[in-house]
Amino acid sequence: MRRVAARAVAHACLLLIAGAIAFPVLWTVVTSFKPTSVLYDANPFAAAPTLDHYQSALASLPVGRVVLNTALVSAAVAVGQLALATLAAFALTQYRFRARPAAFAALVGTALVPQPALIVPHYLMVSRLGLLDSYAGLVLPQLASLALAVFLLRQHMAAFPDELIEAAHVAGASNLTILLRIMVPNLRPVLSAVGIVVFIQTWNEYLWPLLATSGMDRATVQVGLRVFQTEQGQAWGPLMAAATLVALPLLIGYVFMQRRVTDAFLRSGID
Amino acid sequence: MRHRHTASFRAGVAAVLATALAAVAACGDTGTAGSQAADEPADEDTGDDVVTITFESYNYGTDGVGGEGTQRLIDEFEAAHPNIRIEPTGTPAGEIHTSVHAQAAAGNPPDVAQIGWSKFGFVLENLPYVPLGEVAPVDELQAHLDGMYPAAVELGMHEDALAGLAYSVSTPTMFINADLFAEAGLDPQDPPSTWAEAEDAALAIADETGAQGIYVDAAGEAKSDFLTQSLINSNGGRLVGDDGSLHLDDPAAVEALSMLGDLTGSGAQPAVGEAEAIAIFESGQLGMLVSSTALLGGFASSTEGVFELETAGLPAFDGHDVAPTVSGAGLFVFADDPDKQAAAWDFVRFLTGDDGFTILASVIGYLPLRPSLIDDPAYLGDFFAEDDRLLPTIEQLDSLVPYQVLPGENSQQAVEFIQDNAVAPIMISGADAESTLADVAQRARELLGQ
Repeated sequence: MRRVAARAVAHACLLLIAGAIAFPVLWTVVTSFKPTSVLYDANPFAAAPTLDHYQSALASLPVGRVVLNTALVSAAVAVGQLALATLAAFALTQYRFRARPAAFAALVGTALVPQPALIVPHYLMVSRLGLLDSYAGLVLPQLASLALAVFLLRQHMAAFPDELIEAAHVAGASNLTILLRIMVPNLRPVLSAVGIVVFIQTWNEYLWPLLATSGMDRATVQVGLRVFQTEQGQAWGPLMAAATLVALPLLIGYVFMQRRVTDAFLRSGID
Repeated sequence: MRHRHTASFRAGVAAVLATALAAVAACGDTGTAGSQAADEPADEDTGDDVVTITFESYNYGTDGVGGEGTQRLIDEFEAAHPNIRIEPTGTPAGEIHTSVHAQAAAGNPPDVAQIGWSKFGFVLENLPYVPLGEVAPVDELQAHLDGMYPAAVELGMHEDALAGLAYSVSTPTMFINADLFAEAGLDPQDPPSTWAEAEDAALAIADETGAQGIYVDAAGEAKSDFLTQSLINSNGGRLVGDDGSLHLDDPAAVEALSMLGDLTGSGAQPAVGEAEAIAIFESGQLGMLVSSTALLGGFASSTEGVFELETAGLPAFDGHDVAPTVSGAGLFVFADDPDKQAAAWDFVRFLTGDDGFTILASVIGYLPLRPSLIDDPAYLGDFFAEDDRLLPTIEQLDSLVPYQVLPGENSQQAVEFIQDNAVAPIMISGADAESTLADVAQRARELLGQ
């Protein structure tokens, strides 16, 4: 009986926390349907719901375009980082060379460099390559921010059983075969975890897409939403409507991949 | 064996890298016409002597009146100048100087940019602007400036040269919820003209209606320092001396900023941040909001059906005249090609000319910096006859004081340091004004190398 009560209390606490976390999202949706005259009214049913903010949001922001841009860039960065970080982690765990600790420290140390310090060099590089306002220009600098991916994959590869790798070598397998046929399939959960974390980080990136794009042709979601933050004040209604619209694809994706996303954050140890 | 590089592994690595590079190159081809290498000539002279200039603006592309007004300015300019094409880019006000800095480092700055006065020090120290005297014929420039408020022209002066020209300018104003005034037994047509009267009115609103009384938007992010300067100026002080020294801890400044803390301490002002205060005001639960006139256009639509919106000038300190300074932005030219410089001057001249300021004032709500337009029925006469809410601050333009730029390459950091560590704590957290300003002034001087 006492155990049931304790579980009930624990679940009540968890429900409260979940409610507190979900409330801003819920209020975003509620606000997006409220007429401007009652936008700040605490009563969600203060007036009949309206689609005015959605019409305004769709008129000011090409929602489909920015969602597609963001999805393409996020997917490209996630896949690219996974490919590069897998190779780097393999080299850092399977090859012994004198500079290995220093190489690992240098790679992981890049995470300590604040992003604003890299903005001008990144801009110079992308500009001179003629890649401004292109998908490649958006993706390329973000591919280099792979310290977290290298760190996580290296930790998992280091824990991979030596016996399996030795046996493969004895059987005549090349390093590439060992990586692609033995390690990658066994590391699939952690690879998908890292991929999801990188995808979400890239989806939320703001400063680089802001500088690397002009106009809405290549703009990402985070850059696109700023059209509602003006010097004449925040257009809260259209902003909430646009935020709801751009969150829909992610929400749908989350419904189908809930377990994997949760697992990704648990494995990576970040939030 | 295990640690040996094998030929197949090297081939694999090469294959992955080659695939990645090919993909990147392919993606690069998908860029728009606007993406060009830094040293590549811009899209110009397409055969009909059309010159294309780039314009980076924090109003362009935004939702509402700012974006609409800027688009109209561009459309009308292009209609009047068929040989010049404007390629606009929208960048938020807080990041536009960083964006121009990055582009300038790549050798490809925008030809014209709208940059806030609070970043003027950064522009002077870090950006390759071209003084307007070098892009405009002397007599043409002088004739253009003659019709503007002298204080507005003075804003963009640096070492006897016109670094930039006042464009989207706003000054402090007091937004009033006329409904709350009436409910509290106050007359919205006779608003407080001094800070003492404003505090009394705020307390009356709080007592009689249960709403909040007043909020002075001096502790906000990024650009609220123009209000800090306006308060210090209006109390007979100044932030920067003639020799560039910082006067933040002078008695006039201490007294001016103490007023902010006193308002909060007496219950006349809520201890909240800028965004919350604006939300409270828009919801009809704040009697007075002292902020930038730039908010008028947004408030006019967001408060419609909520309460009646009125405006008044910046209140004065007892025994002193108001001496407001400005927020907003100037236009800076970065073009280095003579044809583009000529086109940039035409564009700047239009934006800050009669038609430009008419659109800026009537569509967006910025101040018309040409006094002759205000009563002229061909320009703003009819507009102001219908909606006079911008007039109280226009009347203050005669007492306008130029925005003061902190000297040195750390000026922007010093401004933010002062706002975050002095103004906000005094106003919101009840910090003692005298000791806080003395401490922060000392540390700001170190930052400025004084």
